[in-house]
Amino acid sequence: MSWLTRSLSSFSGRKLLAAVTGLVLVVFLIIHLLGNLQIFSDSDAFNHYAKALHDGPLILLGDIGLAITFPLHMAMVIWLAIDNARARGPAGYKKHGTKQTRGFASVLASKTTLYGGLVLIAFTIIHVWHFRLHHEEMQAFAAGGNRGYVIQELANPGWGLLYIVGSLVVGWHIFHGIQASFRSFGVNHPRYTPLIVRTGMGLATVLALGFAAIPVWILLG
Amino acid sequence: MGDTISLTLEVWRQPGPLAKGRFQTYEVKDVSQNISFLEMLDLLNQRLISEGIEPVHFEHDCREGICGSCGFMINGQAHGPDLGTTVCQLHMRRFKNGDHLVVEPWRARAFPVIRDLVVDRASLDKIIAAGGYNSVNCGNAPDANAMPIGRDTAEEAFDAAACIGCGACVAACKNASAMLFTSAKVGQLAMLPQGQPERSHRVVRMYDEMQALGFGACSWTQDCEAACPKEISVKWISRAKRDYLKARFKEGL
Ligand code: SF4
Ligand code: FES
Repeated sequence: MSWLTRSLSSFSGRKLLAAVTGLVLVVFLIIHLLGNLQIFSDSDAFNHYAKALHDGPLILLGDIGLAITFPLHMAMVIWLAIDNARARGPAGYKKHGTKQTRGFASVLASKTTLYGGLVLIAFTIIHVWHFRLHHEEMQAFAAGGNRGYVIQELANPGWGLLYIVGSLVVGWHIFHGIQASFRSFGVNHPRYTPLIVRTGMGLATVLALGFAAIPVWILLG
Repeated sequence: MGDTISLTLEVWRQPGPLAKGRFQTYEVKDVSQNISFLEMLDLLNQRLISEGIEPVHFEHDCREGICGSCGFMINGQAHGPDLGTTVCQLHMRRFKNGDHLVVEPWRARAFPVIRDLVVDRASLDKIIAAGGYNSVNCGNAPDANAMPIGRDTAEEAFDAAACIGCGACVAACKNASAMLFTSAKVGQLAMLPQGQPERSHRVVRMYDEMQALGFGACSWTQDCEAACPKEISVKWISRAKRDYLKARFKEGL
């Protein structure tokens, strides 16, 4: 094994890759949400934004970026998860408990990040097919272009609900994910670490509620 | 002299490393709340011996919370419900009359069960053998204050050195990771001047050995810190991780 494969296949190396790609994906989510929120405006803002996005180089950059980071993040995490699951050994515990005194949500989020991620794989595939691959159709949609198309789709309770769930799961996933990423870089500071933890949780909550607000608003008419 | 309580214990019984184990239920009656958990098991074992039954095997030595020999799960909690406490320092006053306790050994692929509640923690020794030492000859004990180490630094290094190698961090971790143990052992030496020459090689060797032994990775759930009888902080994981990444990616080890 060469130095690079040895370093990157170590737990800390895999974690490093998972953390970097994870944080890139969080930045993507922030940009994505800022774009989406324009749907609340009655004017043509959302359609202009969608057109500008797809006409410019940004969409290609985004596609390539996501095509690299998303699978890499997934691969590293699943590879770690397999080793982690094997580490418990043949017999598990009969009774599960914890001695943690941190908040219930933090503890639960930290133990279910992986499951949230697995749900997000399915959600992302559906979502990319649903909108990204229907881009031409959306652009040409008679009743209000992109904006009209999104509203029509999400007004369907099945789709609307799926997007609400997807939004909340992504928030839950990064609720622990953001701070864990920084810790995986080796960040440790008596003042900044608690700040990172809180900012991460806050950002996760804002993103979850922000994304969920769109289908909720559409469903409520 | 205090109250007595009666309990139901569900204890993992396994005659040997390769034998199949199972839970066995025992009723223990009129236990003084002033005795320790291990003393309660001593009483149970005395009874089992008089009944001609093989006693419950558990590991112990100092019984004062400093050797790291003892340890098992009580109702899913490593060393029982008290924070910062080994199971030998856990007392029966912590429990109520009629409690039902599930008592099971540490579970990790790297900690195979030897018998009942006793597991083989030699893998922790192997992590130490991989680099948890200074290979220079330090000579005799130096004069006090001959080596300038600030009080806070010395105290902090001692915080990490307080690890007794009990393995509760591994047992409590959902990934059966030995990151807390390994990082504490890396950290105590990384704090001090004597540890500097081998600092980078040490962390790489110890981390890689931990991984090779079949322990899991860190997901930052922080169950280890909560379970640790010596209250070793997860900050040691961050520190050792930074050393590891630096050694690997900056120094190219
Ligand atoms: S870090 Fe704590 S829990 Fe882990 S082996 Fe050391 S003393 Fe035990
Ligand atoms: S017997 Fe020594 S720490 Fe419990």
